[in-house]
Formats: sequence, structure tokens, C-alpha cells
Amino acid sequence: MNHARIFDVIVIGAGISGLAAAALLAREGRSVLVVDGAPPSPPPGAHTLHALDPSLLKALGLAKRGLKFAVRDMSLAGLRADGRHLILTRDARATALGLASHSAADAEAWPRVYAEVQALARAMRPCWWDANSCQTLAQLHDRLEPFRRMGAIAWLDSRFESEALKATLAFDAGCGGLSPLEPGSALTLLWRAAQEMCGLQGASAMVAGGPRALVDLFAAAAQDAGAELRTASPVERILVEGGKIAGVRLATGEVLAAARVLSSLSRRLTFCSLLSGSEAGLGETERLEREMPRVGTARVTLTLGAVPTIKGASVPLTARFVVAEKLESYAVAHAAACAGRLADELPMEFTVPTAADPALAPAGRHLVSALLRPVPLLPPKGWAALKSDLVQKVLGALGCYAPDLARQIVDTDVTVPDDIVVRSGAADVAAGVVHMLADWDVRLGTPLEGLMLCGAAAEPVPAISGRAARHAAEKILKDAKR
Amino acid sequence: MTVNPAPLSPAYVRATPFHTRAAAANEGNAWVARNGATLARQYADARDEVLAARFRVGLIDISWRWRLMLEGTRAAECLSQVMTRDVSALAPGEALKALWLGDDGRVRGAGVAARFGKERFVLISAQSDAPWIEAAARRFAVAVCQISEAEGGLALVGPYAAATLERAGLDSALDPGRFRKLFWRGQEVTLSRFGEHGGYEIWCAADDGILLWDRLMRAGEPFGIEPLGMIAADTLDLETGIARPGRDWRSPQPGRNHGFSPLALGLESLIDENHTLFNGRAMWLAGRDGETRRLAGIQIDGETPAPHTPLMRSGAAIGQTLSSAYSPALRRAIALALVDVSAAAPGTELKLTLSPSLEVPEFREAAVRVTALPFLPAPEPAVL
Repeated sequence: MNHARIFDVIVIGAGISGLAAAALLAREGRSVLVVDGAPPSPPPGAHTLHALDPSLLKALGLAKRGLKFAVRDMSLAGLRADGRHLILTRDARATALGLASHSAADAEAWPRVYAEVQALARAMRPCWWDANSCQTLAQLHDRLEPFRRMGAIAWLDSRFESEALKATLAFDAGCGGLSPLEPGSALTLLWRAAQEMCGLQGASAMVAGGPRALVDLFAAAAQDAGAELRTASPVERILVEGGKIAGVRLATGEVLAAARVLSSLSRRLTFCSLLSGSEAGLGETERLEREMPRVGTARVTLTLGAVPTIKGASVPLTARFVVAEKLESYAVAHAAACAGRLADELPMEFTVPTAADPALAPAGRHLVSALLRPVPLLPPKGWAALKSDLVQKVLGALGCYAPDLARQIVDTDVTVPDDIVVRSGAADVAAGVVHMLADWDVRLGTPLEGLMLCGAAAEPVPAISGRAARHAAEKILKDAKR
Repeated sequence: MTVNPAPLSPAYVRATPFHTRAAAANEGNAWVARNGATLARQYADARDEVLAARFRVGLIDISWRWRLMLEGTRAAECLSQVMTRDVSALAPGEALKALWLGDDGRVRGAGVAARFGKERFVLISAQSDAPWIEAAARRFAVAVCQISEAEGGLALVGPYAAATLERAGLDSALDPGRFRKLFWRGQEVTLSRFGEHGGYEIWCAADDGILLWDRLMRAGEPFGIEPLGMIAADTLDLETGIARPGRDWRSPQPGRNHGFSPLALGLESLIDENHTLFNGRAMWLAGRDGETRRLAGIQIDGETPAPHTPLMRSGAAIGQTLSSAYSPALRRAIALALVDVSAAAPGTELKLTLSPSLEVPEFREAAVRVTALPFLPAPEPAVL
């Protein structure tokens, strides 16, 4: 006798999004099961967060559960070889003073442009935070037009003059998978400015205890709310009967029944590996399979035996450091990544998590977490051949600004793009303007009744946020009330 | 004027297997291209040809139809997921007519799926949709092969079609929707009744085309057999009141046309309610109630056809015609049309504007009337 267990909702993926959705649904009385092939694990190396949904944190009461931030408002430091680093903070006047030695025009423009972006980003929140896109987009059409039309670099060109400043700011524009030259990347910058961390608009923060602590908090919230968690159960297939969701089948063959399934994987992974062709629509599946992304991000984590020192002007070690001095390095790196190679000069961002949170590493050890973008997603000979090359590039770049670093290295760890994509459920297709400005229903919904996406792929810009999970849970609860 | 060294050489045109005979019979050298093949528009007078098919027997070159062979262990599964009826229930020798829908529930294609063997099917349609079907076949590891050019086909329509076949030495006892492979007087042919024109179809290898044509024309001679050009064939199609792919509608192309729902085209009978697997089912069911257009037959007061023309009622556009032709049997022009459901009742009076022509170089308004479909029954072969 094989009675499938029946749940209200099955959530695929025990990452932050999946656990958040499970917690929200379980505390309203739904029977929720979260399945994953591995225990809840943090997105690799994701020390810096910029997009956690404040409403979600409040709804789950994570502050009361012990969510603390080691750094609340990280500045952005653009490192330069000559030591005259750019330091960009929330204080527009202080930043302008710092920029004055590089370019008087930029110093004068900075407070104005910063305020303009912050204001427009706030005005876009009804579209990106709530479900009010049509009205907001209609109202803001004219102000949004340059952001929709231009690439980030073109937009920055129109506002600032010094290359170092533009190159530093352009790094964040690539976080959606688009190159900073492509239209839509300016919109990514606007989206980042619309986010809020620790009550501060557009801030980046680090959770005390690192990504592991954050995931543990979400897992505890989900389990306390009554959700069941099975972590040795990779899902093999989503089962469909008569055009409606019937449940999932695990790799072990066990069948779990549910009328609703939430997937925190990307749309492509969900449709192409967990469903068969015509269930998701032959045309849609074909399109997803064809649009294989070619560019991704990689992370390199270095364990050092001593505190890294950055030569030149003093910069707070708790900042986000961007290593990209020339705008052309973005174009060159993107072209190389599309061709399956690593460029000679890879734009990167690194942080020193242990500067604010020494507990993240054993006593006396320090961490440097580097994010490299763009890198090839599927290099022709595989990533094994490129890993050491990647580490060399990181060391080479860091060596310019922290000459002692190479001697202090104790250990290195590389997370290649595919690991990041699968494990963090991040979108593996670059989200364009249409995706960013669509209704939440469009990003969350699928042609199958009962299946929704809830992970980073359903965000306007793929990021660790939980907002998509909150919207998906709200939708399920609202549908049930009708 | 340079003399064409080989005026009837098939190498100069993309010819069907019957081209040589068609060219000899084509008195006015009137040709038309369809699906890349060259076919006679009319051999002598299209109106006479239509009447021949209606009262005697007619021969139509149907080699231009797109035919795709699908082979593989999962071929039945593949076609069942693509088409709106379940093909796995077919036995070898049986065929069914069905649609295939896009993800949005709109019609991408309509055709006949014929089962040749446990793992072999042939899909026949007037309009090619190769990329879609091939993509689906890849998913199921099914091999596809275009056989449109390897084989020729002739349709035999009219009350004396069965008599012609018997006289030619073929056994005409065949139920509609079935087909049979035969070895006939030294030729390998497939005899089928897929019902596109209400008669029989005979398919042969390309090289045997001339032989088949000659035999059928000779056998039909006492019955007054005539070859039908495309105008006549399309007119017969139109009179049966069925919307045809390629002529009345096209598959949806992104950025070009939206496509039509099955209900608007009057094709919902080709969707099996109990078949739950086919692509686009969810959107078809969801969009059914919202469809405000229906397929209707239009009879025009006059002889001039009016294809793709807006239909007006009290000055407002209420629909538009699809393909249109002069029907010699009804002695007026007819058209298929998509009209708003409020104006689709038979007997509704509407108006349309006829385009200028050589005979009448000005726009004219014509009164039209909605008629029940079909205009005329298909010329079924008389049972012997």
C-alpha cells in the first residue's frame, strides 16, 4: 500500500526564500513541507546583503529571534592603484568632499545625482515592493525612461565625468546578470537604491554570524511555525495531473502529494529539469532551454593569517571594495566571458567580513570574500581548468592594493558559477527590463495551476531577498480565502 | 525571345511528381506556388472544374501538403502531447484529424495524424509548422523526416470517385479516416480517406507520379474526370465551410499575428474534452468563455469574391472575411468570416466594401448575408 502523504504546500529548496515562504504559510495553519537534497545552507560567500525584505523580517520577527547586523551601512570604496581611493558613503557632502580631489564637476554633481536616484528609487517601491506596478509605472514613465533605455555605463557617463567613479559605481549594475553596458543595467542600479537594509535606503549590510546565522534563523522560524523540513530528499520531479499540480516525487521514488508547490529554483531549472516538456508549455520550455546564459559570477574566499592592510588613503575595512578602475574592463571581461574565457582584468568586489565580525573565522584568521563578475558560466573545458587561474587573478588584483596579502594566505576556496546558481537558486538568465518591471504575478506565476516560483529568480533583480517568497505566500493565502 | 531548351523540365520549376501531365493539361499556363510547389491555378476554366468535382469526378494534385514522418518508441506519446486528440488509441491504418495549440491556447496547426505502425506516424497538414513539431519530437527522442518531396498525392473527389477507383483496379471499400498500403499493378501506393475534400487520396512515390495520373485519368474517362486546379480545389474547400490553415489563418508568429483560438475558428470539435495532456490545454480552457468571435459563412450578393475584408453592421466593423471565392453551384460569391458572436446568427444582414477591379474600377458596397455552414456538403463518393 502506498499512501502518499498530503500537504497543503510543498516548498522545493531549503534556502532563505523557501524557508521564508514555509514560515509564512505554516504560521497561518497550512501544512507545509520543505524539501531539499541538503541541509539548509547559506548561499556560498554571501556575506554582504543588500536586498532583504524588511516586511519579511518584521513578519517573521527575526530581530526578536536574534538577527543582528555586524555592519549596518557599508561604504563603497573604489580602489585605485595610486592610493587615492574613492570612498562613497550615505553622507553626500562628505563623499563630495572626497571626490573633489578627483574631479570638481563630480564633487558638485554627486549630492544632486545621489538625491535624484534615491528619490526615484523610493517612488518605485510600490512597483518593486508591493504589487502596484501599473499605476506606478504610468506615473513615473518619463522619469524612468532614461533608466529603461540606457545601460548603466551610458547613464553614469551622462552624470559623472571621472572614469574611476563611473567604473566603481558600474560594478553593482551587473548584479542582475546583465552587463553594465546593456540596457536595463541602469534600472538595476535604481533597483538597488530602492532596497532597504537596517532601515537605511540603498544600504549594504553584513549579518552577525555570517550567512550561516541568517539561514539558521530562517530555518528556526519555519520550524517553529510548524513547517516540516526534510533535508536529505532531493526532488526528482514535480507531478502534474490533468494540468494541475499533484505533488512531487523524490529521488528515492517517494511521492508527496500537494495541491501547491513553490519552487525556489530558477524558472529554467524548474521547467527543464523538474517538469517534462509540454506540462510547462512546449514553446516556453524550448525558449528557456535555448536561452542558456553564458555569463555568471564566481566567488573566491581567502583565509588569511593576518589582517589585510590596504595601502594608500585610509579606508574602513568594513567597506565594500570595488576593484575596477577602467570602464573598458567591463566590456572586455563580458566579451571574454561570453567566449568562455577569463579576462585578464576581472572587475571584482571584495569584503573583509572578519573586520566587523571576528567570530567568522578561527582566532587570528581573517577572511577576504571576493565576488568576480562577469565570468564564463560554462567554459568549454569546464571550471576545473579555470579555478586556479581565477585565484591567481584575484591575488594579482588584490596584490596591487594590499601587497602583503599573498604571503598571508592560509587557504582558498572557490565557488564556481554553477554552484552558486543551483545552490542559491539565483536566476540563471539575465533579467531584462521587461522582467524587472513586470507584475509580481508574472514573475511568480507559471502556466501550471498550483506551481509558483518563490526564489531569487522571481525577484526583479536576482538577489537574496525573500520578497518573492512573501508575495507567493500572500497569494496562496489570499487565493484560499476566496 | 529565347527558347527554353526544355520547356517542361521539372528542373526549371519546383515541380510536383505530376508536373509533366499538369503542364500538358494546363491550357492557359496558369500556375501558382503553394508551400514551395508549383501547381496549376486552373487547367481550363475553374468554374467548370468545380462543377465537374461536384457532379462527376475530379482529380486534384495534393502533393503540396506538408507531411512529416515521426518514428520512435515514444512517437505516440509525443504526438499525444502535441495534438488535441489522443493518437495512442489509433490502430495502424487509422487516422484522426486534430489541432495543435501553442502555449497560449491558440491554434498553431490543424492536420491529420495517421498511424502507419506501432512506432510510426505521419502528420499531414496544409501549412508547415516544422520547428514546433521537431522541437517537440526532440524532447521525446523521436526521429522526424519530411516526406513531402519523396511522395506525390492525388485526391479523387466527386460522386464517381469510388467508381473510378474500381475501374482502375483499386478496392474502394475504405472507411473514412482509414488508409491502406497496396501493391497495385506494379506500383506501391497508399489509398486513404483522410477526408480533406470528402473523397479519396492516393499517395505514391515521386517517380511513379506520371503513371498514377495516367491510370486514374484513363479510369475516370467514362465518368467525365477532370483535373482541378488550385482555384477549384480551394472553392470546394470553402464550400465545405471549414477554416483551412494557410488560407484562412496562419500559425501565430511572435510580433506578427496573435493567432486564433479554436473556438473562433470553429475547430473546437477537433479537441477531445477527455484528453488532458495536450500542450496549451490550460489556456484553451481558460480562454474559452472570453472568445467573442465565431466562424460564419457569408454569401455575397454578386459574383466578386471579397477575401480579408471588414464586415460592417450599421457602420461599425463587426468582423472580417477570411478566404472567399465564387461558387458556381450557388451562383454567387461566398466567404468564410470571423464575426462577433452577436452577428453570427444565420440570416444576419451585413455589408462589406468590394475592392476595385479591372471590370469595375471603383469601391462598391455589397450586401451580404450570414449563412449556416457548410455552404454545400462535400462531394462524397456515391456508395457502390
